[in-house]
Amino acid sequence: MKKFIHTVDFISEWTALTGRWFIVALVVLVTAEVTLRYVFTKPTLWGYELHVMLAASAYILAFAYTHRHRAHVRVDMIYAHLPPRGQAVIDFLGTLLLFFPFIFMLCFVAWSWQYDSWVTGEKMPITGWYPPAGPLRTVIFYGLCLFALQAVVHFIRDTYLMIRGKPYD
Amino acid sequence: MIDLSPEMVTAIMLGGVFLGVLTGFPLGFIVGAIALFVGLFVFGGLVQVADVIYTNIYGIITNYVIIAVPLFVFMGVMLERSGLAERLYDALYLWLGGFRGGLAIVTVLMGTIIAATVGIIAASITMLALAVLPSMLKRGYSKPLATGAVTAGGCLGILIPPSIMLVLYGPMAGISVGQLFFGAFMPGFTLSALYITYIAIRSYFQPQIAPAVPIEDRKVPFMKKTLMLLTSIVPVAILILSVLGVIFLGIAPPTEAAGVGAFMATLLTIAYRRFNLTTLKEAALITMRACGFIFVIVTMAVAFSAVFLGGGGREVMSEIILGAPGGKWGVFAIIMFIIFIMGMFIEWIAIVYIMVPIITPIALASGFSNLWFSIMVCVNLQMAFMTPPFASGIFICRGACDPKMGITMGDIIRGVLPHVALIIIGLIIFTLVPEIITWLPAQMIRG
Amino acid sequence: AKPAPAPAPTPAPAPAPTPAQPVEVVKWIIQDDNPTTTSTYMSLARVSKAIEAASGGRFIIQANEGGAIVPADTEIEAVQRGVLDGSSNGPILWVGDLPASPPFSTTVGGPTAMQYQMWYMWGEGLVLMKEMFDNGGFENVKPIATICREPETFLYTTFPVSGPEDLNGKKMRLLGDEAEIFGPLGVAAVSTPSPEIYESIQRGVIDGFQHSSLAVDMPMGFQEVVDYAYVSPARQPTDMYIYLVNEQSWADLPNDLKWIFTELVWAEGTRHYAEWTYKNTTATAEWVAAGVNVVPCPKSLEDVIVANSNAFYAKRQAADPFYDRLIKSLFNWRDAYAKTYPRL
Ligand code: NA
Ligand code: NA
Repeated sequence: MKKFIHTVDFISEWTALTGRWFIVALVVLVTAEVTLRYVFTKPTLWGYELHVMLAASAYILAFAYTHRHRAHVRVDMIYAHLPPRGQAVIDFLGTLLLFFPFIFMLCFVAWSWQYDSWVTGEKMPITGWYPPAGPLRTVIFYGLCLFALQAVVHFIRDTYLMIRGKPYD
Repeated sequence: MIDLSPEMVTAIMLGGVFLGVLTGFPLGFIVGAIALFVGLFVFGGLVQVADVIYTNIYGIITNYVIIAVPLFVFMGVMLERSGLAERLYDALYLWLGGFRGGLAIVTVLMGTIIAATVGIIAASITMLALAVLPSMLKRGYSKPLATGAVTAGGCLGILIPPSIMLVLYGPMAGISVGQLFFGAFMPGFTLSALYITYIAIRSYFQPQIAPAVPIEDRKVPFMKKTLMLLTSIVPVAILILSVLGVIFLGIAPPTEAAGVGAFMATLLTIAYRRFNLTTLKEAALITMRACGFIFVIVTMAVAFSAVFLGGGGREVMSEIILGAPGGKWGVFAIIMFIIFIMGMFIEWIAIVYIMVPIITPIALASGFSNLWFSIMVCVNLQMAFMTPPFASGIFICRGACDPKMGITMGDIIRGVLPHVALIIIGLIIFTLVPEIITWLPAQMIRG
Repeated sequence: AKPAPAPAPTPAPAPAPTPAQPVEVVKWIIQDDNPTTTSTYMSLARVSKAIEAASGGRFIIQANEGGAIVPADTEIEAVQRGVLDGSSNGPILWVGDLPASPPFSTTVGGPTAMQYQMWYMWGEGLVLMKEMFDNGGFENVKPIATICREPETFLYTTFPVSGPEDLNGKKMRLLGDEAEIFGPLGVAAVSTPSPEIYESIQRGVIDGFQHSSLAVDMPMGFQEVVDYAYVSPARQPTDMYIYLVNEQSWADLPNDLKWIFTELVWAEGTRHYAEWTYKNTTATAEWVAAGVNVVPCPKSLEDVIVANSNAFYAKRQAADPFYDRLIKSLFNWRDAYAKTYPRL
């Protein structure tokens, strides 16, 4: 069990450490696009949708990482004043009743969208470049699944803390 | 399947959010789950509603304009690393430290100047807190006054362009981001002037909360003082040019200008010899973490809005708002009040994505100018950063304070509340003198 | 536009001896792909009201703008999956899923708006579209009727154009296939998101763009920031909007409501065209008053664009038999009209 939990933590971490390079690439490519267009009157056909792919991937890949560090925004007026065990009860109930139904359904449809996208050869339609949408849809599926897994891992931790009154790890 | 009436949809969804957030469970998760459960009745199936949520997530993350968000966040983090704020403070301190409340005024001035370079508040509040708080407290400034100036001054970062808020708001309201940028300048400067006036008056009558810096602590030759001011202003000017200048000169639209700004902030950090591979990696990782929480909220708010509109919530809200007594100004007042109340409990991004599709058609039908109305809502949202219980401006300030300074949440809240009152005064001024908002954009149009 | 006169109230029926059966009310969710201020959304809102009135309140349609329920331009996927009961869309934006879809919207130098409308009413339009849906993974989507939009403005620019050579080296906002059609003229195609067009043209990020028609583009403020509007129906003679419905929602609809829906959309189709062509003729004066040169597109530019488009179509026709049938069907339809009514 511990191994599973730490593996998921590691994957969330590693995913964000990789995804951050998308941000760096985005900064460089957007600046390059502006330069190419303004200085050389040679805008690229592929810049627009490539920027979108990089940015969208970065957001999605960050979901699990932010959750791993429990950094999703809360109104902690009451929460912050609760003992750790009380906080665990809220996270346990919220995850079980609210978040699990939501994220598992989302992973389910994200699978079907990415599957269909590859099968039908869906293209991104804005510019004349028409790149395939499949890669981004797959990244979304991966990011959401990792988000769900990270929630499962935290759920195990919260359950343990709630019952035993001490942190799992 | 039970048929939920539009009134039920409205009550369950809005009530659910207010109750849900109070539990302390993450905001985005609550908003998303409510969308799923209510959507089940609106769209008639679990797969259908999950589909609505998925397509809305996909739609928003593939929206080109939105890439300004990670770019502005990255730029802000880079600027924090550059040490730009410290240099600016050292220079302004010498000039204005001698007045009662002078350092707090310097703080608001710096907030205003930095606001013209950054697009988010996290960067500007953090920069101010690190650069000025220790010095103000050492000089005997009261904690509420000092942290109030940092938080309110830092929040200007998202009103004075460039601004993520305006970038996200524009497409939602069908108004160009550039128009909003030009519309937001004067209101931003007006708020800044109100803050400074308040600090000056208050410190004049209560010098014990904001004493003047004694002359021996700021005795520097005039020439050196001037040189320090110039050398600290030049990089700021370069940054302003690299975002607002790029937009104004027609080099790039606002979204891409955010990228140029991020690039220039990196160059600046290199020029200040504060740059190495670790800095770059850290900045990108902090950006990832911010993206994680911002986009969970953004995507869930969009999905929430879709279910709310699909369930007929817009008609119900319209009826409530249009039922206000007092004609179009009654309508306006109730919209402003609703946004204010939501701002106390919900992250501003969620308010934009949930409310703008509802209030914009109402405002236009009531005969308000889209530009004026949009800026009024954005000024109103300035308060959301500072009104507890959910006040991200206060949280960021608290997070940036050195624990050794012993600043409590209560100190910051006491400090920002007068500024909230000043924003309300600002809103009244902009209502009486709408030209403060509309004049500058009108000058930008060919005659 | 003045609102249509309210339907006359039906005379109250004589009190029945037994309480009447509660009438079953059908509720649909439909989405247009444009914002509430646009002509296509206004048409959807008007059709919805008319349907509710004509059905005596038995058929209520919630008319949504683009992005309200699902992101704009993804409505067809939502209709396929049963999230929306119907949608009102321009086929050109289905190109990501259905590569042959753009000619269903418009063809450069192709049929006029009314000819398109007739092609959908009596020609092969709806049949070919349904065939495309069935073969492209959209078998749950049924096209019902169409709305023909007025011709678009050929081009908006901040520089004078007397022939194709003037476009060389200019930065133009062009989307989709237009990059390929204008490319040979030396145009640098820029992909500007719609909300950024106004600023981009004003400040010179781009030198020109195409968008919609004079009346439709006025609320966007483009008359404040462009110097020339080159008008000609050649580039985009129309932009057909199709009312799509989910097959299951349609099957569940009582027969009389099917009639009401179909006929009222067709009626709106020509009404829309009449309304907006008229509005464009009056909007022209307002553009001129705003300082814009509203002038006919130079014939030489028209000819080059039509020629480039024909080359583009020929290339696509050679690669895709369905595309080939589609283009032939459209152009034969146009030519048949030209034979009978040479100058219409
Ligand atoms: Na700013
Ligand atoms: Na607040």
